[in-house]
Amino acid sequence: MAFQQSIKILCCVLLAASAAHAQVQVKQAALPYAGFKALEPRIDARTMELHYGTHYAGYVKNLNAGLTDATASGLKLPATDLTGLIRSVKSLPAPLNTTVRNQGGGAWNHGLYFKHLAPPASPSVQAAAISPQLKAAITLSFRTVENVTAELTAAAGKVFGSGWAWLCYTGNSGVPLAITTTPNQDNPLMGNLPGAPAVKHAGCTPILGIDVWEHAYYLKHGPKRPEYLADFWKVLSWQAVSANYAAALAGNVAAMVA
Amino acid sequence: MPFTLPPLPYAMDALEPHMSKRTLEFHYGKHHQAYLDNMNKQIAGSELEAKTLEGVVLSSWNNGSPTPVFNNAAQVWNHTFFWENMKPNGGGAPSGKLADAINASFGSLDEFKAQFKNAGATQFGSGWAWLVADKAGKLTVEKTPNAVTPLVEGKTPILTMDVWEHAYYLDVQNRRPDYMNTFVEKLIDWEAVAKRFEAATA
Repeated sequence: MAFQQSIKILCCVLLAASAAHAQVQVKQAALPYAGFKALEPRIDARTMELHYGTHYAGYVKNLNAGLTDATASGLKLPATDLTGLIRSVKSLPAPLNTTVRNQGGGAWNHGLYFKHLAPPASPSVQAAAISPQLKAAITLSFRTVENVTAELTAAAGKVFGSGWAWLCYTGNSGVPLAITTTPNQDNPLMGNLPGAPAVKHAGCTPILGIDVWEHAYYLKHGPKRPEYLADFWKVLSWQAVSANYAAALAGNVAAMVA
Repeated sequence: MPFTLPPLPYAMDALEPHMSKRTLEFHYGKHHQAYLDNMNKQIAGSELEAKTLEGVVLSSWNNGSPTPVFNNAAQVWNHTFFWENMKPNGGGAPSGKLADAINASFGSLDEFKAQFKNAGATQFGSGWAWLVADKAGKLTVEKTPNAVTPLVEGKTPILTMDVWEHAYYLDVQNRRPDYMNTFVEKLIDWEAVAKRFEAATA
């Protein structure tokens, strides 16, 4: 009897221990279109292959390795999903904070990016695909779709070095949308980071992201970022951005990048 | 008087196969040139025009609150410095006082190379890896983001490696480590570096 009880206790302890060290691992979002050639001729297949298959994949792999190391050393993570980790990056100890910032940021940002692109012939890239909800938000915040795309394009053009331009949900019902930029793989969800320049609208929820790291465009356009930006708008899915806006309103941010 | 770009110290195809002609055409002909043109537009009619390029860099750094001129001016300076520390059939090993200083500061040339490449690998996003000398001949490896340069800390660089993606993406795509190996083994002009070391320790 005592022996059987000991076994039960041992099993409970082992299960509890493994639960405490349960792995938090992140996955790449699947492409919602048929492969690397789908965005041709706007975004070339080779760039898609490298950008998705190597850069994005690398961020996910490195993040997962960092999470494994952290939990193996006994750290209790404040969140078990990518969005939660990004939001809590400032509370994480070193070196996990840097891993989540750079690799986790890369994983989050690229999930949003690849999921909101569509083939150039798809109706979802037309302005008509903008939901009434998103249209109203654009009207309140920028007056017209032309204005918001022009301002986002200008912001993306001005980023020096590597980084992103974002259209964000502010949570402010009067001006629900705003544009901001972040360096490297930083993301407005991270808030203002120590040692980094202040982010306009820090804490806002991105619903549209333009990657302006050179790897996003260099093979096709060389240094000509404006030409890449023109291509970007031809494959940007307003349908996906509308869904992102609805998700942001509903507080379901994690769905945008999964 | 507006600033001008010094010519590339070698032909655009002279660093093949280690750094392609196409890369140099873009890197020198478009990136470096654009930094220069933009800087000239920004400083036209201001007292910065009368300074040396280094003076413009230091002035626009503005003690850590850089003005819009800084990114362009520093990138003009950094890239000129970069071209000058490469040569066709480069690589090999330093000799003389520089070799001694590397051994004294790092233990060995291999250890220096490892630290230098590690700096380049861990500069997340865009930036530069540097070898810096002080007046006593002590060498240290540094890394800087974007346009930042050790000049702004009053330091004397003697070698640099550009790790912005545009420096290597056409040739090796995401494989920055391959680019850095090639730079270190096949491109460094150790004589140019030695001359800078002499000047730094004079």
